[in-house]
Amino acid sequence: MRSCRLSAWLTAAALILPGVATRAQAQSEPRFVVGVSGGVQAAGSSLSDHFEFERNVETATVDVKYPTKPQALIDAGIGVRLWKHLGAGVAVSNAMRSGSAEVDARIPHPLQFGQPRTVEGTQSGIDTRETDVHVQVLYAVQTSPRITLTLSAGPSIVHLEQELVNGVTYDETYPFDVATFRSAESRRAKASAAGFNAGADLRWMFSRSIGLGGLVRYSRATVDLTTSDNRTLSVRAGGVQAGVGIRLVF
Amino acid sequence: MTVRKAAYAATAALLLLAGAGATTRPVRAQDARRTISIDARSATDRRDWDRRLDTMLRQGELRVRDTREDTLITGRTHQRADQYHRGIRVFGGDVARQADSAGLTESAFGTLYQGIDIDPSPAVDEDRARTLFQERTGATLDSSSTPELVVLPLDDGRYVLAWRLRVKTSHDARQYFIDARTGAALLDYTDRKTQSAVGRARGVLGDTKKISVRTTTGRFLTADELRPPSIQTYDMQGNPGRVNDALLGTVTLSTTDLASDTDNDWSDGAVDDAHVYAGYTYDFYFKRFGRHGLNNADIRVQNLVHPVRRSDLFTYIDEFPDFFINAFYDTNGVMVYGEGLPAGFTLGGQTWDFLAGGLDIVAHELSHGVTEFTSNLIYRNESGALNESFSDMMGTSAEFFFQPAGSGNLKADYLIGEDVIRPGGIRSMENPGLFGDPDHYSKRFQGTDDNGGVHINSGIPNQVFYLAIEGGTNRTSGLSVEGVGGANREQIEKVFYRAFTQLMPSNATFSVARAVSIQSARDLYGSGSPAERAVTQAWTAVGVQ
Repeated sequence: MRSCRLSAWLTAAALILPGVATRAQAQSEPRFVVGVSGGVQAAGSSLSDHFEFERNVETATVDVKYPTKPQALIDAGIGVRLWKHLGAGVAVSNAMRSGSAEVDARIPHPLQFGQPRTVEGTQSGIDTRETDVHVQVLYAVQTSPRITLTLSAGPSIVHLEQELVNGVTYDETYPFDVATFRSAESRRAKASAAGFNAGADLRWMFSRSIGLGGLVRYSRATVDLTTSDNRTLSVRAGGVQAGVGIRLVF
Repeated sequence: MTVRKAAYAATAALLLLAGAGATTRPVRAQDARRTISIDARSATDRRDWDRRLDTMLRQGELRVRDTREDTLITGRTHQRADQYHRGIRVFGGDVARQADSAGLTESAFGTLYQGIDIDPSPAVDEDRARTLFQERTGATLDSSSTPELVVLPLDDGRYVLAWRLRVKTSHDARQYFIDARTGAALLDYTDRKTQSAVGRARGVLGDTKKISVRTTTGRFLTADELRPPSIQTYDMQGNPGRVNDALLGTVTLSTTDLASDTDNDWSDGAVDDAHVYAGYTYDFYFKRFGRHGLNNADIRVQNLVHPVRRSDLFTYIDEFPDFFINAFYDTNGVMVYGEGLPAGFTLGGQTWDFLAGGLDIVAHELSHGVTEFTSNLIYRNESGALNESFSDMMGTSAEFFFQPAGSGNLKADYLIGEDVIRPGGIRSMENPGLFGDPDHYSKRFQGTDDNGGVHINSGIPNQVFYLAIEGGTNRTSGLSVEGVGGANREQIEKVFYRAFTQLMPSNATFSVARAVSIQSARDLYGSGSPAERAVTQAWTAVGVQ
């Protein structure tokens, strides 16, 4: 939510900022660049979890594999040229995904020791939302009158919200030799961590101050999520981001 | 969740205690400003509260939930009314008023909440509330699951407009409350008054097993809530007179007679094994034959253990010998398990442990119940021996179903009662002669003792069962039998189960038993099948035509 507000603010700021000269490396060249892109964030490393709980005076185990498909990405950023090719910028990206987690549980039999039932299923609605704030050092190279390549790198703050499975509900009836998956219980966990980013943005100006651009960025941070049973689940957030969108220069 | 539940229960308990005190009494600091506990028993209190309650009823702050006649005092009526705030029920706010035949209040007790000042309009509508309940509980709610909008008094003294829904799952039934303004979860607690629980039990032989019990507040009781029938185990605490009265029907056993434990880690071997093995026997019949208990309609099973104390051996042995060295099926699902003999005492050179400690013994006795509701074999002479033999067959089959084959404690074999009557048990199906029982019809007991030898001549059909499974040679006739093999024991178990429960008449002789068991084998596995051949050869080997 915060990132959405920030994105909106940046966009609004871009619209009200006074126009500046448009070409890089010259007094008349643009000083500010604002970009808004949409795209995808490729899946980071796979996320899985294993937890246990007491059931029927034995230990039940649950293994969860979380979805790894690409996330929808919205990215907004602003850059300012400070000296020659160099500049500074900040970008905010928001990646979202709703997928299904694969749950594989072993639930002890209520009447016999050593006869766990296998309970397998998928739970939909497992949401992931990642909001990154990238602080960047920019290096811009104009490759033609209309095309500029901007390289960027710097630290990132990654905020991750992840729906974590913390329990399994299942159906069983006498004689309890079989249990079938009904659903997985989940809670949303949130945490932030510092990381880094590096990327490139290529923009093509079709008018004096408006153009199109494409960005590719790699970011990485390890976020420690706290599960409902107070375990720490380390998640490698970030990944390759790719998007296209509008570029405004002033 | 547990913490919330505990806190809520504590509030309720305190309110209840307050109700037995003064007319209006603050309950605890945080509740003082908002609750009124009504305890109107004096004439002044009754008049005062009568006026107030009538006013509240007229104004819609109270609504009558139900009115019932007193079943014990003629003319009295009892009215229950719920508290409402601007048309919304206040959860937990209610009054129970007793009136005499003239309609005058005799007493009024209850709890009313005051100072409620919340807007009764929910921001979360009913459909959204249903969705939230579904998301929260994981349950699929049908159209009959209608959330109720209530005013929920919280433990911290606040009131919240909330949606309430009771959600039932296979494991539990819980009351859930979500905030009707924000959709946030507020409270949930179990609403199942009695609940099943699985505990850890130690048997007579020190083995660990799971025990299915009932949980109530702070205690666990030997009432199996997981299996379809009610299986209850009563600790008779060495009171043989009460056992006798219970068997005669002059005393009805109640929940207070059930064995109990505070931590669900059970250590009374006799109680544990009687309860667990009765469950195992039900499981065996269900899984093997699809049978639902003794009467195939899930009749209740009642186990009576500790009918005497071992230390009372000399006091009761003459009057109640069966309560020491026997286990028996009474009728209608009632079983009694003997206490065994004190350490250092032997009978026939054997020590006698708690009889409930033998799975084959428990299954044997319960199988008498199966016979009672099926063939009802007359308990004398050959039909009586068949009755006993069927119980030995099923007792042994239950052992093989749950225990690994072998010799020694907790191993499946063809000895009867060997785990608790040591050494060796009391009968052998493999070699009945070990215990002086006949293994051939020519050796049958023809006297009148033991109801015409019901526990003696059972050795003959027992030998048939053994030979049909394992094969071998009958020691008397020298005839060999090609058994189906231990891996196929299920076939012979089904043959005899079907023969004895569906085909056998009540006054069957061994010859009839031969005919019906062969017929059963043909029905199940076809003419010329290994099962039919094994059964036929086995009856021939023991001299029964």
